[in-house]
Amino acid sequence: MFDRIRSDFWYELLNSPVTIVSAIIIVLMIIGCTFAPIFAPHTPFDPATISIMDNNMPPAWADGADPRFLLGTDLQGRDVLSAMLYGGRISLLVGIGAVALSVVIGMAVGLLAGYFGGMADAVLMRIAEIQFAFPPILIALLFNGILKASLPADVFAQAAVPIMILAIGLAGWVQFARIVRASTLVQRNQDYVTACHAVGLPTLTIILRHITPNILGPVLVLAMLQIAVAIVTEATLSFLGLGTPLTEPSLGALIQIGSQYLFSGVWWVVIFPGIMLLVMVVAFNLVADWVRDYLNPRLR
Amino acid sequence: MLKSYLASLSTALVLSTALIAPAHAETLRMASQGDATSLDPHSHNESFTNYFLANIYEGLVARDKTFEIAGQLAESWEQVDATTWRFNLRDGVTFHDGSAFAADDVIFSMDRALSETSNFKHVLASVESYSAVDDMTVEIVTKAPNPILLNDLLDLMILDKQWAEANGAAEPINLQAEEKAFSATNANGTGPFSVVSRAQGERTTLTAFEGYWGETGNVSDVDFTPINNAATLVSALLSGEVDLVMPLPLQDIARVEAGEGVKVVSSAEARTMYIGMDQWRDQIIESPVEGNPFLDLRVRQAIAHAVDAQAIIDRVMQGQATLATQYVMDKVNGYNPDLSRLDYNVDTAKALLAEAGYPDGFELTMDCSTDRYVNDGQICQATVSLLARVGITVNLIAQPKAQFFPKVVAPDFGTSFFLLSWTPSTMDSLNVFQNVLGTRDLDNGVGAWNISGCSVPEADALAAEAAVTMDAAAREKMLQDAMALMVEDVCLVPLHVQQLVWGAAENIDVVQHPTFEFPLEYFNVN
Repeated sequence: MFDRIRSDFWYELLNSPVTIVSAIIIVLMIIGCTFAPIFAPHTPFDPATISIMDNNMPPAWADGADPRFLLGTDLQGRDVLSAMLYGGRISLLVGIGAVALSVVIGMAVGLLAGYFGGMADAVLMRIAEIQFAFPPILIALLFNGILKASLPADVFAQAAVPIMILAIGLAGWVQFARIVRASTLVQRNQDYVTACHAVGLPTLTIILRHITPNILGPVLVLAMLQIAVAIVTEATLSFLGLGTPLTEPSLGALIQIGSQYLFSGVWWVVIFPGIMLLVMVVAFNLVADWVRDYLNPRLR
Repeated sequence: MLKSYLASLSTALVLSTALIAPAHAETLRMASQGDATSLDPHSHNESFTNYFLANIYEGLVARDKTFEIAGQLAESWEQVDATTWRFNLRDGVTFHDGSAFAADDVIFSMDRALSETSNFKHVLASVESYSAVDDMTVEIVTKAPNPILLNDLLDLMILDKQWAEANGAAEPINLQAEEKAFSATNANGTGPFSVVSRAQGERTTLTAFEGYWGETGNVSDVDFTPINNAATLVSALLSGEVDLVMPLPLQDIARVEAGEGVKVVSSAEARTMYIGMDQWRDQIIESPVEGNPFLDLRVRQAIAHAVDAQAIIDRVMQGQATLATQYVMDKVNGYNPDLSRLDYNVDTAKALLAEAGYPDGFELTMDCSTDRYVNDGQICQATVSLLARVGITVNLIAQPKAQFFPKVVAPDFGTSFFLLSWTPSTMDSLNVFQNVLGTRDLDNGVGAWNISGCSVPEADALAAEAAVTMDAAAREKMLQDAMALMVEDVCLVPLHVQQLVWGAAENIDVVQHPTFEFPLEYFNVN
């Protein structure tokens, strides 16, 4: 698998301009959001720098705009562009973090179930199937609700990001477990695994050193797709008011705040974060599509 | 005095233009940003909940269409002597389930309002004893002459004794425990509307009670839906999905004014918004600060200087509010015209903080609702940013009122810094002293909403004296003096008096009262 990447990766990639554009967008967003404090013209999460007297300014090209605020300001006087960069950082962090958690849990469960089979397989996969029967957003709401009920309100507000990573990560592991189990079932009967047994390698080494690298392809594709799903889930939770605190809004929370003003003419607070979320999710999906096609020999 | 201020208030009313209501069935579909916390009339003293329930339950007295106090379940009353009041109950009144209304229901409801989990102990704070003289007469004896007993009784809703006892609802729901009891979702009052269905936070439907004793408008069914998102709420009104939106989100006033078939109805509301500061704990909660900075008057003054209430009015409230100088608005009896608000001044605030030993400010947590008051979440955010300028770091916990109220209410008062507001339903500032400003004495129904835990004994004494003073002028002076003491002590930081703004379909006639009542029996669908 990794050999193939070296030989034709660039050729395939350069023949897909859509993927290149998407990848560039993702890279730019990750850089822009990660280094938001450097790129953002204002620091929207620092209340001391916000003035309520600057509120509801339209984007820089509209009448009555203030050149300091390229995409306008919201009701609190927050710069929308800066809030998008800082909010995008939360969205990306939650998206990537939640998927990383899902991958870790899903791979552990899938490898155990697939390799050992029998009781372990039956029990683990039944649990996975039960959870699979519920929509992921419902599971995330459930975990979020449990954590909210069991933590003091101030702790919950300050730990909003890790809590969302946990809630969304715990909601998304099943798909990884299923795909890893299926791949492991195929791999464990391969000759190389038999050979490993023959030379007396410990089980853990066989699983981690020999089987795992061979099942990473589909996991990678799924992970890219799931990042987009996790970002949308985070936005949904925040839109429902269950996510980030009002003073540190993620993209979803920004859209929620902006959506309150749809009829009042203050359109920029909802439109720009909405576009950013859309572009982010579409870009992740397009890149994931390409990676899937690339890794699937039958499609070429 | 009572008459004169009531008369001045009545000018604020939006009166019905319909002369005689047509007799056919009309459904009124109304929506609000939040729901009533429960259907239990003694559990949570919150205006929206109270007045939603006032369509289902009734009291001995109530405000009529012109905001005058009139008999409701009491047909008439007389004062036997200075402290003894005799109420003659209305004949032929039945509860929604058909059982007859009698004096034992009144006695039961008073017992219930005084029980441990009640949030309405204050309504009977002045009462020494009460008894049923006969089946249709109730006697109330006050501890001392009480000039505003009738005002106090406005909030006392009457339940059916047999119904409550048979259904395990003899005591009010414990608000803090978020109990889900029978009386949270079921109601049996004598009011003009009975409950058809109730799904908390989703939908409540009411229907006109066939056996209602009084006159009503032509509303036959009420369909109430809480809609939290402002844009959804307004689009529901504009598209004709709902007939009445209250309150109307301020940013959408212009849109509704320009809309076809819809109108904006507004008048002054007797609600004063304020910020509260913990003055009773030795250590404030949810903060890394050692001790309690708010015990120092200078810190409280600093907060008042730092919060630019005028900017909040201009920007967050879009001008739909007036600056509050004290804890009641100008139409409430006991308002003190001589008081002024501490001016907005960052330097003064910083200097005061430095003097108090916090030159670099401190960090704390603020509790705030997001669906209770007009733009409450936004007011809190603005406060956070205003306080950041004097070095005070505020971690904001903004939650829907279903989570907010259980956290901050008695007996735990689980907050050290918060946004809240009060409407004296009696239109008399004594109500504010009994609930919000008086030194806490929960067993006697005083200070149940004194979440700040502030205490000014001289003001308590003045309020107590006013409570038993029959001379209206002397009484008003006492209340004004007491208010001045509270303001001087910066018990709370007053923000603004909000405007009552509703959006309605053109064909709906509504009645607005400054206390936020919405007596649906006076509404008409044309």
